[in-house]
Amino acid sequence: MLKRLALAVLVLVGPLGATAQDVPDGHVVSSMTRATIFVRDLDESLKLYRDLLGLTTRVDTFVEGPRINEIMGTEDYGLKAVILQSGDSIVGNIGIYEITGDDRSVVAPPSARTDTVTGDFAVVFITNDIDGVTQKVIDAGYPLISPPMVLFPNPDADVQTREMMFRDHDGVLVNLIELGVPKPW
Amino acid sequence: MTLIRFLTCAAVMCAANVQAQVPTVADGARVSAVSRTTVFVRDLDESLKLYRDILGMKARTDRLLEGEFWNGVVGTHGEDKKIKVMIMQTQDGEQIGNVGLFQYVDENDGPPVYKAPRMQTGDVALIFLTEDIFGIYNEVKDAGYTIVSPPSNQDPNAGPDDGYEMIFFDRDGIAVNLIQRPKN
Repeated sequence: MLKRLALAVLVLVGPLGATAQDVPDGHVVSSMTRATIFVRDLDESLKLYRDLLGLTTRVDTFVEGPRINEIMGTEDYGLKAVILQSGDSIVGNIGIYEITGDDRSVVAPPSARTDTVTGDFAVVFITNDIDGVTQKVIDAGYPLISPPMVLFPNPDADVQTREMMFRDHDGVLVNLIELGVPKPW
Repeated sequence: MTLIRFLTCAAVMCAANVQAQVPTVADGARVSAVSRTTVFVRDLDESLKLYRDILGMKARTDRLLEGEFWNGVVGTHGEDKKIKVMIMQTQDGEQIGNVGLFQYVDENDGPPVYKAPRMQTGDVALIFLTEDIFGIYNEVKDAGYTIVSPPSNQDPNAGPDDGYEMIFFDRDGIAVNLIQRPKN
C-alpha cells in the first residue's frame, strides 16, 4: 500500500481502488486518462477550465523533491498540479500543471494565431451551451478561431451539430462541440 | 436530458457499426470530459508508428477533410486547405480520451521537432495507463524517441509487479506519460 501511495503522488490517478481506470484486456494502453498542459500561470488557466468551462477539481497539490524531478528530467523544480474532471469521470481529465523554479526566459510565447497550423495541439469537449460559452470566451478575450458553425450540414437534423474553437492563454486550442438533434420522426 | 444525440460531425465521428459511448456534460459543468485531444502532426504516417503500431490504438476515423465548412472551423476562411484526419481509440465505441492525428496536406513543415529530454513550461502531455511499461519502453527507445525518464519507481528494490512511470516525446514534441500501476 505504501508503494501505491508513493506512486499516486506522481501518477495523480486519483481515487485508488474500485473507481480507478483499467487497461482493457488485450490492449496495450488505456484510453487517454488525462491531457496535461504545463501552463505559464496556473491561476489564469483555472479561470478558463474551472470557472468558465465548469470543470471540477479532482486533485490540487504541490509536488517537489528528487522523485518528481527524476520523472520530469529536471533538477530542483517544483510542480503545482491541478487535475480537473467533468462530473466524476476518471477518463479524459485535464491536468493543469505549473512548473516552479524554471527559467521562463527560454520559454516561447504562446501562440495567439486565429487559424490552426501544424504543431498545434487541441483539447476537444462536448458542450450543451455552445453559444453561452462562446460569449464568455469572447468577453474574456481569448483568441477566437471560429464562432459556432456547422461543419457537416445534415438535412435530417432538427438542430444541427455545431462547433467552435479558440485558444487558451497557453496557445492550446479548445474545440467545443454541441451535438445536434434529429428530426422527431 | 434524454434527447437522442446523433453524431455527424468530424469532431465526434463515430464508426457507424459500433455502439458509441458519447461524452455527456455533467450537471454543473459546461463541458464533458475531454472527448479527444488533437495533434496537428508533421507526418501522419510517422505518428501512426507510435500511436497505432506501438501503443496499439485503432483508427475510428480515417478521412480527408476539405471545403468551406472545414476551413471555417479551423480559421482558414477563404483558403482551400485539406487535412488528413485519423482519430485513434483504444476500445471500439469509446469516445472519451481519444487521440486525433491531423496532418495538413501539401505543407512542408521541415524536420521533426527536437526536444531536450526534460519537461518545461509550454509542454503538453498525454497520459495513458499500461500493464507493459517495460515492453513499450524498449520499443520507443529502439525507435529513437526522446526519453525524458525511463520506467522508474522510487523503491530501488521494486519488482516487475510494482508501479512505474515513464515519459517520452513523440515526433511532434508531445509528451507521452505512461503509468503502470502496482499489480498487487
